[in-house]
Amino acid sequence: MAETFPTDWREQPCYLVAVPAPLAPYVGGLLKIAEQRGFWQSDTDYLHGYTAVTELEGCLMTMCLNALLERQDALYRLVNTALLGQSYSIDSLDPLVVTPAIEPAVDLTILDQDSIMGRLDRVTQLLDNSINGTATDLYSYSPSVKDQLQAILDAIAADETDLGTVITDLELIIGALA
Amino acid sequence: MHIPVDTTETAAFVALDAIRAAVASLTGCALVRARITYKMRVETPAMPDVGASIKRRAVFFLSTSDDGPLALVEIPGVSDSIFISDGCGAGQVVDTLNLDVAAFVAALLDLPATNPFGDEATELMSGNLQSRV
Repeated sequence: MAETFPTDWREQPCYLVAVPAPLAPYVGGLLKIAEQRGFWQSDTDYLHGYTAVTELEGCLMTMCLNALLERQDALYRLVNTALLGQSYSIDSLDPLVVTPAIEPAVDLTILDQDSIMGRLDRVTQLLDNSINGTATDLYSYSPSVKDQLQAILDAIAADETDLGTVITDLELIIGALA
Repeated sequence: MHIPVDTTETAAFVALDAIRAAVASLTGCALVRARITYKMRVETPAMPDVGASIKRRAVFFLSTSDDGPLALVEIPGVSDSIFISDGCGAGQVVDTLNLDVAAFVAALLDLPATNPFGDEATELMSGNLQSRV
């Protein structure tokens, strides 16, 4: 019985089908029957069916699943390196072996301060140290902005300083914030 | 049946139509189509390579003018040398940069080759190994 084929087939969803490489020549070959006019019910069915079948055959080996998955893994490593600073090394190109292997889950441990999260952490530490005086892993400037402001306020309250000293202290604060 | 190769196309179809009319009284089936094919026969063929199989074919996919359906060309008993040898698709994907492949495709485009709908082939898009009968 001759087959019909939808005219809107290009608008239909596609399936990603994994075909073992040794089977691919046979899968392509079996589609030959659908290249024939007699397989289809009408000339229109033939036109659309032939077009779809031959395009499928043409792209059957254009990009194998391994290459697709390798690119997905490469994208994961790109994100992990950029966000957290994970370094990877290539142990082998064929087959591709990259260490460390991709973990099922990762935590937020920052592995390199030059990563995106590392740079955000630097900013956080710098602000905490500069304003609050908190000694962090990377910054230990002293006195803090808060301490310097408090010293100015205390001096003014005690009337033990002149305006020149106050201005000098304010300039130091501005310098610390710049 | 055999029609001499020097028969004109018009004469061949006239003969075919006459046969169609003559055979009608001999069968309960209705003729829906007939075909005239031109064949070339090599009288003294060369010896094929050992192990060459007619089922093992390279299929070339060529784009066609006006974005028509692809044109397909099959090469039976294809040589291993035209396939890529490394990476994904090794031994199964045609190396489109292979000089012999390029020369063959150039000859096809010069014909010009067409798809079954008459759209002329314009460019080799890809090719792969298929098992066809």
